[in-house]
Amino acid sequence: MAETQVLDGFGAGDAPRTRETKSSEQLTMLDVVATFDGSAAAGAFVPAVIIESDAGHVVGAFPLQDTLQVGDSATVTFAPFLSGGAAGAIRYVVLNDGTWLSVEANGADGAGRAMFFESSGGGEIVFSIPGAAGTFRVTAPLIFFDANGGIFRFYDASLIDAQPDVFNVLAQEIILSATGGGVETVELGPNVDVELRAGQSVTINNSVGAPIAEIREDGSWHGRAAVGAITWDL
Amino acid sequence: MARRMIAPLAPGITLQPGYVVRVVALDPTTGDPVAGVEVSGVSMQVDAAGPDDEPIKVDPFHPLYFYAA
Repeated sequence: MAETQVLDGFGAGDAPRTRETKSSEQLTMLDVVATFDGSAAAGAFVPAVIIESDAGHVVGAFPLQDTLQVGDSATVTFAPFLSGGAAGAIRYVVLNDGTWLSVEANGADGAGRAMFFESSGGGEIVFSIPGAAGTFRVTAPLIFFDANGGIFRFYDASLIDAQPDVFNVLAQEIILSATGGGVETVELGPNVDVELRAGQSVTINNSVGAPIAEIREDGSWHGRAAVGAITWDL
Repeated sequence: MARRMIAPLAPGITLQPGYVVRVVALDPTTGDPVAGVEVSGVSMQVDAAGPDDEPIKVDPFHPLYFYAA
């Protein structure tokens, strides 16, 4: 394959300008450049490149993501991996700084998912709201976090306030640790149901992780410490 | 002077013989062609399959085949 520039075939004049691939050619497109002069345009217009197969089917239509007005002139480069020319359009490998951003996946392609995928294996995906005010809100019938064997952690220096109708955590290990205010408090309430599955138990450990008490699913309570007793302060 | 603008294009499109590339000006609402827009300076940068990409054909019945051998 040899990279080359094709200048023949299109000519100059009123749009559309067309070029049919010759029988001796097989070309892989790298870019198309064209100058549009709208001095005598009948109305606002969108420059575009349309590619049709030899059977007349549209292979692709690639419009500029902006509208030119009567009197506008523009030299447009149509090329892969370029974003639209409109102000605020998302671009890649550059800082996108704009007033707002909305990403919507509404089709079947890619299972209809809007994905943020960090593939380096050591990076982060960050949603950040700097400042004291603001809300990070996820609204969905099902919210699924998969730590894939790692650590799933809610981290906050002051307050984590979880108030769902149902809070269902399935994990190898659940750690609740509150270290603020001089008193370590994990507040659950007003009504807490702890449901033990068949054959399972709840174990209370001391500060070094040794079990000191256990409540089993069969209803029995057990002191697990070498010393100490279960005392009912009634 | 004309503004310089950029627009997306799908990568890797191969233009087979008979394929047509149209440079058009479309109505932003209807998608119909807009009259009076002059287009000039159209160029395409391409990767072209040329004679160098053709395999060398050996014809054992050609007289020069024996001469070269």
